[in-house]
Amino acid sequence: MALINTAGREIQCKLVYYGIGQSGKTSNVQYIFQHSPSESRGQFLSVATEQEQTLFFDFLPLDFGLVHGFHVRFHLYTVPGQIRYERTRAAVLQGADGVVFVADSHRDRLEENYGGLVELEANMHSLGRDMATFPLVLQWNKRDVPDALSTAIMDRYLNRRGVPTFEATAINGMGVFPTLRTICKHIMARL
Amino acid sequence: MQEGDARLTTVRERVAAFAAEAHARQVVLLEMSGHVLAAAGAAWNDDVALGALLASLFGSARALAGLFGEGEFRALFQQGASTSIYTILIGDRWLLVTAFDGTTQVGLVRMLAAGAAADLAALLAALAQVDLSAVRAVVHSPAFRTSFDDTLDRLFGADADEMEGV
Repeated sequence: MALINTAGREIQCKLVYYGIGQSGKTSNVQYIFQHSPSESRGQFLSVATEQEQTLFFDFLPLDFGLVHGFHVRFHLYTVPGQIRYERTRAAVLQGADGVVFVADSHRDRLEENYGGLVELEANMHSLGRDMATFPLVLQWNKRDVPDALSTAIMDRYLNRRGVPTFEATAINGMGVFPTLRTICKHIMARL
Repeated sequence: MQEGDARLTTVRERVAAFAAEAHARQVVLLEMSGHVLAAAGAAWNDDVALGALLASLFGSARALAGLFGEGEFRALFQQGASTSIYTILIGDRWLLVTAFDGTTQVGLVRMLAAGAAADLAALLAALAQVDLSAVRAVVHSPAFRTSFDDTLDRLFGADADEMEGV
C-alpha cells in the first residue's frame, strides 16, 4: 500500500507491470526510463536476467516532485512473465497500489493472456485486495505484429471488468505514457 | 499532521539510536512493499534501490518459507567478506535491515535488533493510528488533481489523453 508520510508530506506509491512472458513489461519501463526527464528518474535496476528475460524484477523509481505541497514518488516494478516464476510474481505484487497488465496482441497468445489475468486476480485475492476496486489498466501491446488480434476481441475476452485499455507498441513508445498517466491517476484517486 | 510528525520522529530516533548502539554501517526501516520509512548511516546512498531489493528478497524468502511449510522466515542473514546484512521482520508489514562490518559482532547486532524491533513494533502501531483523513481530503481535492494532471503533462507529455479509451 502507499506510504503516506505526513511529517515530510510525502506520498510513495508502488506500480507493478504484470503479464505473460515477453509481453513487453520491461520494454514499457525501459522506455519510461529513457524518455523521462533526467531529474525525475532514479536508477533503473534489472535484477538477474536470463536469456534477456526478467528473472526477478525490474525497478524504476520516479520522482514527480512537489504536487500541491506533497512530494510524490512512484516506484515501478515488472514481474518475470515465465510460468515457472509464479511465486516471484506474487512476491513482487506485495504492497502494490496499482497494476498495468501488459497483454501480448499475438493471436496465438490470447489464452496465455487470459491465464495471466486469472493468476493476477488469484494473487491479489491472496493478498487481501479486491480487484473490483483495485486500480488496474490493460495494455494491448505489440499492435505492430502482423497477426495482432483486434482490440474488440481482446477487450471482449480480457476486459471483463471494463477497466481502461490502451493500444501500444512499447518497444517504440507508442501508448507507453498514456498507460502510465492513467494508472497513476487511478492510484491517486484510490489513495 | 503534527501528531503524525511526532510519532514518525520517534520512530526515526529509535532507528538512529539502534544504528549507533550496534555500530552499524547502515540501518533501514522499510515496508514490505519496498518503501523506506527511516534510515540511519550511509553505507549506500541509494535507499530507494536498497528498499526495492531488500523487500523483494524478503518477499522471495516468504514464498520459500511457504514451500517448506514454514509460516514465515522472521529473519535473514547475509554474510559478506567485509559487510553483512541482518534483516528482521516486524509484525507482518515492516523490515528492519542492518548492514554492518567487522567493527561490531553479529551476536550484538541480533540482540540489539530484537530490542529495537520490539520497540518499533509498538511505535509503528501508534504511527498506523494517525488519522490520514486530512491528507486524503487534500489528495482527493480538485486542486490537487489539477496539479497532479499538470505534473503528468509536464513529465510525460500533454498529448497522452488522446490515446485513452481505445
